[in-house]
Amino acid sequence: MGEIFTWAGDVFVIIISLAFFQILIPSSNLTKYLKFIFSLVILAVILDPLINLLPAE
Amino acid sequence: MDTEKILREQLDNVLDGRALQDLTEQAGEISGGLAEQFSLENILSATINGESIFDGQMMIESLTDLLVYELKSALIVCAEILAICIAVGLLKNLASSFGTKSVADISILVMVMLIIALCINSFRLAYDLALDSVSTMADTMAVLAPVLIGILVSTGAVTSGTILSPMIIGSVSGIALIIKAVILPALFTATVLALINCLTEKDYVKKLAKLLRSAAIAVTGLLTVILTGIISLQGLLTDASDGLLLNTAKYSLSTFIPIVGGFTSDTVELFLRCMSSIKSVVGVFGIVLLLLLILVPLLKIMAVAILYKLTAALAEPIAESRIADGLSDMGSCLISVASIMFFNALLFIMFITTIMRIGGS
Repeated sequence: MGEIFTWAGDVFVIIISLAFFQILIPSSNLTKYLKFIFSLVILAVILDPLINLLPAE
Repeated sequence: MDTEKILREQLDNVLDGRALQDLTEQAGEISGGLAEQFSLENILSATINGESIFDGQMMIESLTDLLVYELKSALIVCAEILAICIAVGLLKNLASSFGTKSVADISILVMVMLIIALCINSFRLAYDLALDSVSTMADTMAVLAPVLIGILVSTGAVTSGTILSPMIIGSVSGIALIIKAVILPALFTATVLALINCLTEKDYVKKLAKLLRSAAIAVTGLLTVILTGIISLQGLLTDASDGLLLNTAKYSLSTFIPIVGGFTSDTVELFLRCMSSIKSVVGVFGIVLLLLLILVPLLKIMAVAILYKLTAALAEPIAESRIADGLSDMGSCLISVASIMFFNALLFIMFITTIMRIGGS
């Protein structure tokens, strides 16, 4: 039960910080690639509990 | 009246009055005075005299009072949220007159975070309320089920009593644990995700929130259906075998004992009838108790949910649509919490009615 709240907190923090980041970065050609990388980071954070479930090797 | 005396005596014999008294007091504290007209004593005398136990006028009045009170107290948060939404709308329109766009963007983001904080705060209250009421209902069942099973056994339904007792008590504590440890936290997470989603322009976690919410509701519904199915089927089966046992006993009493056998058999039957009306009285008392326990938290949560839906509707023209969507999702999540509590109460009521039905009262 504690883990699910930690996970929700992680997702919360990562989305808030990336939302701030997206506003603050200067607009250039690289912005769209950055946005894609942000989405990848969010995906990684969402999938984090599943990674722990995988077998160790 | 004679039957009244017999009933009261037997009730005193089989019941530990103190435990039930505690339950009534607890229900009275939670439901604010509604419980008093449903004491065991009142239900018993209403059963004996064949009266209705519900005083419709009073019930409706106290329920509307309660609902209006809850709506009023939840109104403040909604007014705050609406005020922030108006500010967001204003900022958005004024954004062009600021030097850079990012300043307006960041201030909108901060305001949306403020709205999220308000929402999560009030969801937290509803969540604690739901946790509390699920625990209270499970505790009530843990006191009521042994009493009811005891009465069930003394109506002659020995097989039903021995088989149903562990099943019912096990599933009551099991489902309370599952709801408290898995389903409600999942709903909380779904709400948080649905709210974070209104921070960003692109939808990042909208589907995830929806998935968690529908999974929580589906699991609760499934558990309810499965447990009710198993318990009522088991009840039907054991009921048949109990009937067989009882009829054999009565028949052999009246046939094989000469002269007094007939009277003895009749006396046994009278005793069993009395016990089964006591079982109905205690069962009705238990159902009313559960309803009272769930009524007030359910009304509170529903009032907040209605107000969030209303705020979402009001915020749509002024603020951005993602904020309105977030508020509307928040309302849906509160409704889901209420429906999970309702499923839980329904399951417990089904258990009680299964016990009441056995032995053909």
